[in-house]
Amino acid sequence: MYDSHTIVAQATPFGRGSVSIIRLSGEKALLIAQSLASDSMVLRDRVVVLSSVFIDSKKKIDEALFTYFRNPNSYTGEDIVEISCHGNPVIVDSIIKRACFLGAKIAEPGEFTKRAFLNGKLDLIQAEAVGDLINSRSEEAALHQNKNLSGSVSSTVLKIQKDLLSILSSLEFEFDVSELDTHLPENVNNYLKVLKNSCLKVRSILNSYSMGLAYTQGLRIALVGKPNVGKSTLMNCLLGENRSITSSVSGTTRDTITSEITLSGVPVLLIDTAGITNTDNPIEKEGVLRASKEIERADIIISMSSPKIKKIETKHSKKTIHVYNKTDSIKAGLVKKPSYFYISALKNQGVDLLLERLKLLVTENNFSTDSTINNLRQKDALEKSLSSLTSALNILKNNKPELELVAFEIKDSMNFLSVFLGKVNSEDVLNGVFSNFCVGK
Amino acid sequence: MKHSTLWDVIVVGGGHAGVEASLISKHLNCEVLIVTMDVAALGRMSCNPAIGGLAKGQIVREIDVLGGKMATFADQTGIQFKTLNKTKGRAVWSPRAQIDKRLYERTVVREIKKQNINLLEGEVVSVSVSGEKISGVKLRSGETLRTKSLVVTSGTFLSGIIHVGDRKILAGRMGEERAEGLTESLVSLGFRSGRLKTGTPPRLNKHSIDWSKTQIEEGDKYPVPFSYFTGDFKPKNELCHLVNTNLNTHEIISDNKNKSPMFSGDIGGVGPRYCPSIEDKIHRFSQRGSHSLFLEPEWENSDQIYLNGFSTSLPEEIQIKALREIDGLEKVEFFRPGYAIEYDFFPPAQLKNTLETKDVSGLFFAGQMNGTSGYEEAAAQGLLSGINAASYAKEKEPLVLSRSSSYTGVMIDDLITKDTLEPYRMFTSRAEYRLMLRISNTADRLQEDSSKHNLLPFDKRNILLNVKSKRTKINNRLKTSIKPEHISLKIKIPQAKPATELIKRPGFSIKDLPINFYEESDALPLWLVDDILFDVESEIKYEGYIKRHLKEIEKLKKHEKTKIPKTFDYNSIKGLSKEAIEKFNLVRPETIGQANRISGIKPSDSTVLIINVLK
Ligand SMILES: Cc1cc2nc3c(=O)[nH]c(=O)nc-3n(C[C@H](O)[C@H](O)[C@H](O)COP(=O)(O)OP(=O)(O)OC[C@H]3O[C@@H](n4cnc5c(N)ncnc54)[C@H](O)[C@@H]3O)c2cc1C
Ligand SMILES: Nc1nc2c(ncn2[C@@H]2O[C@H](COP(=O)(O)OP(=O)(O)OP(=O)(O)O)[C@@H](O)[C@H]2O)c(=O)[nH]1
Ligand SMILES: [Mg+2]
Repeated sequence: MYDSHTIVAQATPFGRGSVSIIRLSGEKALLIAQSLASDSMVLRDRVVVLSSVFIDSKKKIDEALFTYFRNPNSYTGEDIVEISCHGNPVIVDSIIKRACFLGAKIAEPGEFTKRAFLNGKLDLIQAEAVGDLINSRSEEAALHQNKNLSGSVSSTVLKIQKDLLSILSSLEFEFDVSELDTHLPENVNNYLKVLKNSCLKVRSILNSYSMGLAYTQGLRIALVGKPNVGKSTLMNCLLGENRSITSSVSGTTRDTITSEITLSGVPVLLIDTAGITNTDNPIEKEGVLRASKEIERADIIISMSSPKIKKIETKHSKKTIHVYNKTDSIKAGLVKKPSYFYISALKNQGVDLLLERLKLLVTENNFSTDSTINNLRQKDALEKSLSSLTSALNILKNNKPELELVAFEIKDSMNFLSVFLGKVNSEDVLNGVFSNFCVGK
Repeated sequence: MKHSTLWDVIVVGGGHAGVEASLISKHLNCEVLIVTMDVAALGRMSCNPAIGGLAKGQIVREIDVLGGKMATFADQTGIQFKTLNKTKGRAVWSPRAQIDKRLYERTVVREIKKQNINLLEGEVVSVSVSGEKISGVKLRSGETLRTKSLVVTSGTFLSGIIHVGDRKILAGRMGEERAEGLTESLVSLGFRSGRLKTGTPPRLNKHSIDWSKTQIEEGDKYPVPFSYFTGDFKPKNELCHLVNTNLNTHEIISDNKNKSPMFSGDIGGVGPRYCPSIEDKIHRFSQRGSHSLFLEPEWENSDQIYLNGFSTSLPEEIQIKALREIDGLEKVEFFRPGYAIEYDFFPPAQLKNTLETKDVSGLFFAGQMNGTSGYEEAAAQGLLSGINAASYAKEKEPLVLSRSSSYTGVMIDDLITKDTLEPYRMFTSRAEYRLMLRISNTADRLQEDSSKHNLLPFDKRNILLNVKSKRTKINNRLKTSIKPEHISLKIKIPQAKPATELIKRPGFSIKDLPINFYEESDALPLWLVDDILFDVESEIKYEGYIKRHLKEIEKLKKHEKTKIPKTFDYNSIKGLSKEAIEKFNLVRPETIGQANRISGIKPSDSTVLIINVLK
């Protein structure tokens, strides 16, 4: 159930761009679009029309392209009109306000997708992928999401389900049709094979999870070290080096600076922290505390040292890159450790090598599977499914396996895969039994 | 019998459904009348000479606890007992018995007479209603009868047509008249009817079989009865035999399959997938070179042998020709050929979960006419419809069984929520809480319902109470610790542990404990004590799994019983898919739980429905 009112929102990201798209969806979409445009405009299904846009009866604010998608053949399954106007926030704002005056309501986040879902236009996994698509910034991430949208995760999971269904059917045949009380070892071997294989596949999708997360929220890279080691200088250097700076926000505290950059298409948050000291000064103390928190939250840590300033000792198991800064200030006789990067942040020497290493690290999590998943619910379902599969395997390895428990675990695992896909099925098992077997007696 | 009598319950039909319905409503102090076409055919087993079997055995014992008689009848008339699935797990164990069919019928008749149930031979041709309530029936003789509630159990009789090759016989069962008119009467009241078919194999002459060429099938050495009330159990143990078809058999059948009305298109009704005719099996599983056929005696020392696995509607001479290719059957002779039967059924989505029809109160349908197949399925429905017809007549609470309590509950819920396209047979895989629905905990599961509705006489109720207290006693004892020196066998333990911990280990059985943990003198028969011990052990071993079941049940409870108003308008709801609207309109689910289980309902549809029902 949802309110049937017509909704409006900007469909392209906020901020200036060359074009902004405003989307209207609902029963009144057509009517509202008509009222926005000049009287002579005629909208036809899937035909692009150029018209002036008025924000009151006389005041023309822009020229825009109008496209009408008749229900149910639209993204939401309702009537949709898309207005492509100039990407000026003032124009966009005025048009949306005018649409609201004419009877539309501002869409809630995700409301278009929700309507699409309720109208049977998307399955759950597609709906979620769209949500992530809207949020993801970089082009590469968008590519990745599109794969998801076209259902490659779904199809991998469906394949696993199909394999599991076939052995479940064989088990159910044993319980419900075959009256012979014999364990067939070749059956058990086949069960083992399929289960092992399914475990591998689920695990591999799970592994890709951290990658999926990276695409939508960004990996966190923290620069840490003692005061004056050159953290801020390196940060500036990295930001300068990389031209795809998207925003520069000062941290919530006066001493933690966060900037977003893109490395190999992966959005990354660079975090400059306060130098860590033993101090009694309460403000500095607070900064140190924040820095330690950042170390905890980070995915990758750049731990810095320089002549006369030692690196800090921390107890964490994060991926750490050791950087020795200010090499320009040493005349000679530096003994280099193999795993360290030696740079001069000030003179921009050696920083390119460091950058290469970072790029490698952020994409390294991309395991063999082409599937990526993007949210906790799905990860959770996969983990549970895997755990049931593992239990099934363990029971089967027993001397006299209780087949009904194996069946229980497989069913459980399949249920979680269904949760993952946002679907349920029930008669499938029996259908499987009867399409695959002769019923003997 | 005065015909102006207002009966509490009239039962139409004396098959397995009708018998249970009438016996239980009599027990519940109703004035009961059975109207049936052939009084001599009460409790007749139309098909195989066996009761129980995979998933069905569990139903028989549920019937027992809920006051039904099938379990007792089977124990009294069985000639071979066997528990199936023993190596596959604890919950799927299923008892089955070969039955002496003649003795079974005689036993049923004796019980009906003993309970003083009124019998009337006749054919019901229409039902009458007043308002939306049932009021009576009309017989072919013109006689009318008045009743508060009516249970129809017409089996395979409504407009029945028997097919043997291209021969057609109008009949309800071989040798019995079919029933006409009742379907039309019900349809005119607005009920939907459909057509189904089922088949039965030939009956062979024992003396025409070369028994030396068959494989022997024995019953269990330590047989277990169906009924809790059977006491010490020493049944007969007749042998069964088995032969195998070969490629020659298959070739003859394939060559002639167009002579089977199934293939020639003469039969419109849909047959069951799981009990396919031999021509069907050979057609669909052509890669199999052989199928097993079981030779089962129809009664003790019977000359007539039931050929289980060879259900067919081919012409008689083809049946014989194909069978004579089989080792052991070279000279086989028939008493009766196999045949198929087509009949009217009433899609059970028209029923409430009490088996009362949604549109006519006081009218109940049970058994094969609801699209099921099998004696056990029919008997369980007959029992429930009898209980609820009596409750209706006496204005008491109806009995509704949940899916987590019993196979019977699963079956009724399935019937009313799934589209029945073929005869419904019980399978353990239909039960999502299978590990909780063990044959060995049947009393535990259903005792409360049984005593709340007064379904058992005093002495039987007491036996179940003894079973319960025995369980409790053993369970308590198992909580106590056991010292290392007390446990001599199998495993060594470093320090004292509760006995339950030990039982959880794979391969460790309750009987590996010192004897004082489980043995004592009591009044229960040996097999029943073993049954209880086994179940206590199962519950401990399966504890983790049972907890997972329980968690699931708890989760679903939230909307399970949320009622959907009778007049709910699905057409006006935005966001429901077209298929969902169609299905909801057809089934008219009583609760959200039922709505969710209708086949093909998507989660998004059910979410939309929940929000709309709750708003
Ligand atoms: C040919 C055949 C093959 C079968 N094959 C199988 C099989 O392979 N597997 C399996 O599990 N089950 C099989 N069965 C089904 C099994 O026999 C039934 O499921 C079970 O007996 C049904 O019980 P019931 O009480 O519903 O109906 P039935 O046993 O059919 O009894 C119906 C009763 O209703 C009476 N009756 C009907 N209409 C009227 C009327 N209008 N007025 C008065 N009395 C009426 C009849 O006289 C009869 O007493 C088969 C049945 C037949 C006939
Ligand atoms: N010679 C030389 N000086 C550097 C280099 N990098 C940084 N410095 C100098 O070191 C001083 C400290 O640099 P910052 O970047 O402020 O150091 P920081 O670690 O961020 O200090 P805090 O923020 O106080 O923790 C500045 O004077 C920098 O110019 C370098 O590569 N070579
Ligand atoms: Mg700094």
